[in-house]
Amino acid sequence: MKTVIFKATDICNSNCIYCHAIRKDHQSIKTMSLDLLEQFFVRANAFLIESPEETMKIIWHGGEPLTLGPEYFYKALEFKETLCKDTGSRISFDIQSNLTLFSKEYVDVLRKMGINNFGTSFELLPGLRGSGGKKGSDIYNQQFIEAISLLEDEGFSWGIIYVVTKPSLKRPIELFRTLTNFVPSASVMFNPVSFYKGNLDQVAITPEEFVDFLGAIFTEWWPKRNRYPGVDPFNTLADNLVEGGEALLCVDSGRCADTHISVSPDGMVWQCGRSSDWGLMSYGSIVDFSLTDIMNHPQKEQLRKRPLVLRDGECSGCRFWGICQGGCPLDALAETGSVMHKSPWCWTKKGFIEKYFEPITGITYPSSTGPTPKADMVRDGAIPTPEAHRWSRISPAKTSNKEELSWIGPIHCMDDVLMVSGILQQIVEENPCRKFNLVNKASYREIFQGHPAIAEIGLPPQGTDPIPLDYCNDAAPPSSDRRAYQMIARRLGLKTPAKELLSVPWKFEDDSFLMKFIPWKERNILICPSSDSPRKEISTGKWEKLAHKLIEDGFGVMQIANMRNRHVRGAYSVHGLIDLRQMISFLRHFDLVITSHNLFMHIARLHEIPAVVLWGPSDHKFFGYRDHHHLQSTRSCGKAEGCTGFGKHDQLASPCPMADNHCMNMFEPDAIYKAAREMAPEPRTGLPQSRTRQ
Amino acid sequence: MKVPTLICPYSRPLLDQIYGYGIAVKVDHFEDISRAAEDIRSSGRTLVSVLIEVEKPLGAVNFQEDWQGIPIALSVPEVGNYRDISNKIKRMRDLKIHVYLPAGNRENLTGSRILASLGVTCCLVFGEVPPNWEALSDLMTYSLFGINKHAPIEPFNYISEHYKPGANVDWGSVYFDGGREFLHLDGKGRVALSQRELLKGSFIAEDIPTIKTPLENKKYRKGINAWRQYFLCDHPCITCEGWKVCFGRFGFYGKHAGECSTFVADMLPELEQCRNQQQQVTSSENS
Repeated sequence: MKTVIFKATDICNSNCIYCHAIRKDHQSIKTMSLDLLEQFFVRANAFLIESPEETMKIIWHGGEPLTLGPEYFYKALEFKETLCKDTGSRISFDIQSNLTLFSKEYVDVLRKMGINNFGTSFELLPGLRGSGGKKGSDIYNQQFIEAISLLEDEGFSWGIIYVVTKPSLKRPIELFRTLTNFVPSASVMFNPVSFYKGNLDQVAITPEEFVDFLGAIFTEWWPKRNRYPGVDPFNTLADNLVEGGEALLCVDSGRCADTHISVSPDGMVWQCGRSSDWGLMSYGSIVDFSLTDIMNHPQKEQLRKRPLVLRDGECSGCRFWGICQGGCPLDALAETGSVMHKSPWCWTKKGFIEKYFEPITGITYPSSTGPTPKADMVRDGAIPTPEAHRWSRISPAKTSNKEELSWIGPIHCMDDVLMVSGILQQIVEENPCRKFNLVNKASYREIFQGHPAIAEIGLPPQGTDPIPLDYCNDAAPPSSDRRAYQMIARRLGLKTPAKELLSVPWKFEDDSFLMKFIPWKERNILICPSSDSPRKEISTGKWEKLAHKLIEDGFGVMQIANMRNRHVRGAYSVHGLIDLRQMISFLRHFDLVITSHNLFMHIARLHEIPAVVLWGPSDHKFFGYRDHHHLQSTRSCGKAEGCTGFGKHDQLASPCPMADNHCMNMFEPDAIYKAAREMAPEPRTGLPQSRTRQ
Repeated sequence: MKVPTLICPYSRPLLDQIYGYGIAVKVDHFEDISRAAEDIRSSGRTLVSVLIEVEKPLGAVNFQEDWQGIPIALSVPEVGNYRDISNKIKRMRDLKIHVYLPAGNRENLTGSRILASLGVTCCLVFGEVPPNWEALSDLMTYSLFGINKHAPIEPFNYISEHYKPGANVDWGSVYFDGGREFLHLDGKGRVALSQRELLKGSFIAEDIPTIKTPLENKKYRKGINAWRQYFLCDHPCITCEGWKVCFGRFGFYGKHAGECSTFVADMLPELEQCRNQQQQVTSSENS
């Protein structure tokens, strides 16, 4: 495809600080005459007849093309339809506009031209874009906003090119978010401001500054790239580097000689839009030359040779050759006077990839030059693109904090959480400088967020060996050393025997609505049938018989459970109504807890609530608390040591092969009821103790 | 352009002037619910909803049998005692009722969760008092990922259904708000773009016939694109990551803006996860 940057006018209603089009002094004719416009379509038609495989995209550019008025566009359309009868289907249009002059009058003709998308620019920072000497951006932006509202209502889409200037450098993330919020389709492209003949200190930026600007945004964009699908140069670059995509911008393609021309208002043909603005690389007038002649112009031949010269010269060995090709030849020409040099901006691509893309993504580009385009391949457009299969992964950078502190690797179930917290509390009280990082598992974050001994909760760097808390995987230690609390304390470096203190690093809190909502009785019992192991659970029927008897005695009976448990009829279930912190807090309002060996046993201990604890496959001597009432069942399987103790941790998740006859089902509800009646405090007068305990 | 639904007070003379629009009618008394619905339906118009706002808790509302089949948006200040609503749950579930609760009252967040778990659709209303963001976040997670079957909790359900990368989600329609879908009429038939504009007396047209083609109306166009003005005044919301699903709706919380920003930013990955799950389900169904 041939892309024609069609500058039918140099007139603009704006006065943007970085724009050359409105300042150029090498052209006196400001708007293309209708005769010249007609001549262009004659030339376009002739070219397309001579090149039957070719298509042509004409991009209305300027100046500001909408200063031409809708009639001019109707005239262009008429020329296309009358002069390009057999080739018109191979001509398409696009437009780049500041939009401030867009009105309903343009809708019809632009639609007829097949234009449904606008390329535009937007600037939030004051004093850069706008009309008049002061570049009044308030009125300009108001007009712009009204225009895009109309544009969208009329069904056009649009995207933004944002020109990065010195004032932008201070606010990369803010600008990124603002622009992606402003353009719902998130089609945003960041380009550096560039100058030829003269410089403006207040807006000019260096390639290094542009790289750091992009890098700041890329850090935010990469992990969320699915959310912002159209942000460039990242999207195109990631597509090239990761997916092996073939789309390269004109500046990086090494093919612009074959793909681009520009026509200025006086009918002169140039290499591209910028070359027209800068007055460089002119190929003659459409009055004198056909487009075929222009495509064969000697300067175009120079451009075609450039990739070969650079590949074996200045760019030899550069690993980014495949996605850069020496960069924009016009930049090289402006800087050195010859296109046979690499672009002075080539460092932006290289610097960005090496400094940001590779470290952040963990993807590295091939270390040696990939297949290089040959001259005939360039002519044919068959340029090899980066090879996806040559990418390899490198590890992300490590942070010093993660490396310095020991990581704790908790077990997947929550039973030990209060013990771990209590042990860490004791450690940090002994030595306030002692800190750990915690591997984020199960709901540990919810409990340990804010713990004075925990610096970070997350994933450890590769190669880290966290301190494992899976003490049950060990072979059984001597009986006297088997207290779970002491075993965890030893692993974490607390001197044993240690006081068996439990803790949480936050204040207890209640859901006020729930507290009012629950039908409290004078005395209230919480039953906790759940466990992470099915071997520690009792059948629901037995819990129901127990609940029934307690309710008959006037107790309020509540059930707390996990997803697997059935509702114990008669009990009031709070399952799913409270989060983990609230659940831990919630237990302090009860007069008695009846539970199997699980987290709730520990919570009861934390609040010093009387508890009846039911034991089967595990042993209360190692895991229980002295002031609880323990009921240990007979192990009908005959395994004296139980089946979930030390060295048998892998059996926890599987159901007992004894099925309904497993040891926990040996409990009779009457025995539990009797224990509960013994442990339950006597009724008190006044407010129930359960709801005033703090 | 889609024909907007008209939100108007229950006034027969006013209703007589409106044809060709869906109607959401506002009533002041419970006894008017079935009467208004009947009036609109019997005249061949489309009833979108009956809107009623009362000062008493949900538990004190007496749900009538003749509300059956009428879409009702009921705004109450709070849920009230469970004892009062426990025996009404079945009826509420049978009715097409959406309960609107102020999100600024933390109890209403728990109440919404309970009502939703019992099959009653709830909708949180963000008013002057900012919500407890942490509790709201929990509720949002429950709404999006709760495994147990539950009724929708709005606006999370709407946002989740309409969220897609590279687009903004405007969930005003949950509140019958947003000029592209709803226009608000006062008793005289004057047209406002939102309930807020209506209360302020800021009208875009004197009556419905003068706004037959809304996009031609300058005030209308300005109103529906008002959100873009945020980008001209350097408002903190425009740099917020959560804008895509907030649209500045929490912007008026001012000093609490940081908290709302965290809340909405946290919501985005959850919405993306939700969307991925839905796409996986769809693709496995297709295959």
